[in-house]
Amino acid sequence: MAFLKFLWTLFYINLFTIGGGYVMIPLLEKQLVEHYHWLTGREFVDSVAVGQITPGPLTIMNAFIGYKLFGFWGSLAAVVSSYLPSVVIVTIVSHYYLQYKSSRAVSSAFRGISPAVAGLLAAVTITLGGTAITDAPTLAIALGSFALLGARKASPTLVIIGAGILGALLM
Amino acid sequence: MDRDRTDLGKIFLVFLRIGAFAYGGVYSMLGFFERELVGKRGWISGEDFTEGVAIGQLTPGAPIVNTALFIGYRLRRLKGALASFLGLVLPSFVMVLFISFLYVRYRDAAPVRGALKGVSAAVAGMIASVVLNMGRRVVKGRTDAMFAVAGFLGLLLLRVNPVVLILAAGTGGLLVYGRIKNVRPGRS
Repeated sequence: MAFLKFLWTLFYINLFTIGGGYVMIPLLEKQLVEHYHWLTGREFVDSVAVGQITPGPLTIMNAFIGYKLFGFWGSLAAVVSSYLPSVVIVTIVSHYYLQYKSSRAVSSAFRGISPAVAGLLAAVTITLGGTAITDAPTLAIALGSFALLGARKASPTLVIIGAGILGALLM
Repeated sequence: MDRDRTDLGKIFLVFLRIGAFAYGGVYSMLGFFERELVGKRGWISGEDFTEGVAIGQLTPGAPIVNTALFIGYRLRRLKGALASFLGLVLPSFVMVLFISFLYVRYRDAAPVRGALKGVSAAVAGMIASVVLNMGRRVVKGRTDAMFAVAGFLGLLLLRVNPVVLILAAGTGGLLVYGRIKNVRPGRS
């Protein structure tokens, strides 16, 4: 049962979120950590990190979560249920793409959604920050990563790997 | 060139390459796409590529996956979409499996715990930087700020389900901007 619930959760979150992995983070955190207690806050942060150090989409982190919860098949099933909505919807939309793109209804809805998503993400930053920042070194790493990436100069992958090495040496 | 003749195996292999080397955010990954598909092979025109990027961002799910599906579909319909999708996702899936295996076994070893602590802290900082960049891009006026604050407080204090918040924001956007002719000035 938990297995099906897990797949359904990934499926509908991927079906309802537009804008990519960062938009999904608040939804995944709410369901997997707060609602079902399948993951601790720390394990969730670890999942985001794994999604970030691998190439390709951030949402591949769902495969990591699937493995953590249900082993190899959980991982494979997580990938299928995460990307099934995309395969179906993009195939349909590819037919009609010009009309869809220039629709006024779509662009006005997004004019409301985009800033709200920024607000959602700000709320998640506070929740995740509370879990990840526990002492002076973690605070320093968090601030350093914010500064390096906020200025858009550093590669996220290098920052994450660097933070891992620092953590292994210092903590 | 004749679209329907693009070899499925080739589509798969090209996206496999992209999937293995496309690191970073959405925009840097799209850079890989453009170099491989528009520049090097001429499989699609620059215009089709731009449409694919827009569609990737307007459809549910991961934009990078959606853009790949769109391009694959343009090349060989459903089979092409599946070939590009499998190619794109396979390398990161294999890597995640490998990391998951190590994580489950060794997560309690001291250096691994330290590394994970460091990485978690960096992730918190990284998401904060995404908030900053995203906010700069989308919060332009007072109404935008109100939507952003509503999303923030709705999640942090009222604990409203984020899907509900996103749907509400979409409805709000329709109500506020639905009658205005040019929703995003200077966009097209």
